[in-house]
Amino acid sequence: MSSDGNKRGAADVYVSEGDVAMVGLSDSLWRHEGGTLAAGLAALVDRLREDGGSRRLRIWLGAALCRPVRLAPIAGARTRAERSKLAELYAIAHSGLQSPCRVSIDGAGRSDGAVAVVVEERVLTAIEHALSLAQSRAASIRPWWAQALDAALKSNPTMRALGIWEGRALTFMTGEGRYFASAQTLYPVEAVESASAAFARALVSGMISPNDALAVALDWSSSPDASHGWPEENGAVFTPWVRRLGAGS
Amino acid sequence: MRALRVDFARPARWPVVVLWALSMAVLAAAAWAGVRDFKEWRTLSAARVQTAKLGEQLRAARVVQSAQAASAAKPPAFSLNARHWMRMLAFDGSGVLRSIESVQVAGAKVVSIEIDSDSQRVELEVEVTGADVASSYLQALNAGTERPAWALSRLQIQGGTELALIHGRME
Repeated sequence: MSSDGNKRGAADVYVSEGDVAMVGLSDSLWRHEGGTLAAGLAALVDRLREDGGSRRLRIWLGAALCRPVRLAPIAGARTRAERSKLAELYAIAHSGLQSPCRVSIDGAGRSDGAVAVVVEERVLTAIEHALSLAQSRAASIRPWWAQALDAALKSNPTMRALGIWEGRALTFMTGEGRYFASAQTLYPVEAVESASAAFARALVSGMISPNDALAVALDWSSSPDASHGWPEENGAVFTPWVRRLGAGS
Repeated sequence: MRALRVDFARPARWPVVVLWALSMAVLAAAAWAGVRDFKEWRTLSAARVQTAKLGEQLRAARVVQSAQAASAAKPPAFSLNARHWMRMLAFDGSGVLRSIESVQVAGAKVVSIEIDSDSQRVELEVEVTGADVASSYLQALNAGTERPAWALSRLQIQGGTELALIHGRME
């Protein structure tokens, strides 16, 4: 069983607060758990140096570092730049992350719910610095939960709620069609049971049937097995370590 | 819900590097071509100057050659005199005078003799009493020759006397 990253010829690296994992070209999982982000990245640099040579890496950020925020309609802004700036400030304020942050807004100005993705600048700087030390380059730096959302929508386009627990963070998004009713991250959520309970509460408050929802967890401690995750052809990354939580389609 | 396209990675540098390298390559090629053209231009200029010099020398040589040819074609000034003297020496003036003196016709008297040794012509003015006398005098001059050397040019009356103008060609 191989991950999608292997097919593309680039190693996939998961980076979260105190948790760094890499699935290399040989399907082998390397993981550094515990400590700070800096310690995890330092361990990654050592690992990459052991492998030798420059590499292209796809960086997947955990929700502890990179979070979605469902944007409320911005009122009072006169120009697009002003509206964008206000949206960024709103997203940072509601993300629970510390400024300075980099914000990417999807669907700004649209009626189907704009979603901002926020990441702290210190995280991006630390990752780029670590990769430069290892003579490697980031082919992409994306939130893993966004990749999981993409894969889940491919499996079930009518899905109304998705919960993702990884790196002590629970990210859940709800909505119908292309519309986002909510998108947020709860951090920290230490146990998988707590994550399941929090997701169940979100379903109840959104009046969403569990049949229209999916909850998954990224569990590095389990043995690689795709039988509980979703089909590999959906383009999901780290599929062998994805587990379903509770009831769902 | 919809897929969210987010990527915080910096754009790859290679397009910039490649563009930079291409620009440098184009500049280098342009500089190389410029240097090459400048060298060729300098070589051509030197060749042009050399050609101009050679052309100038050739023109001068032609002028000299033409002058020499012209001077060679023109007969030397002394050659005319020499030819003149040769003719004069070859002309038997005394023989002509003797033949004139030997002709004695009554009624004819030589008034003047003009000898042009250069053209070997002799002009006689003879005072005659009549045309028949002039004719007799002419016959006497031409006597003994197959081709008559003397000819009557004119017979005129001047001041009551008749003058016969006789030309002779001595060869």
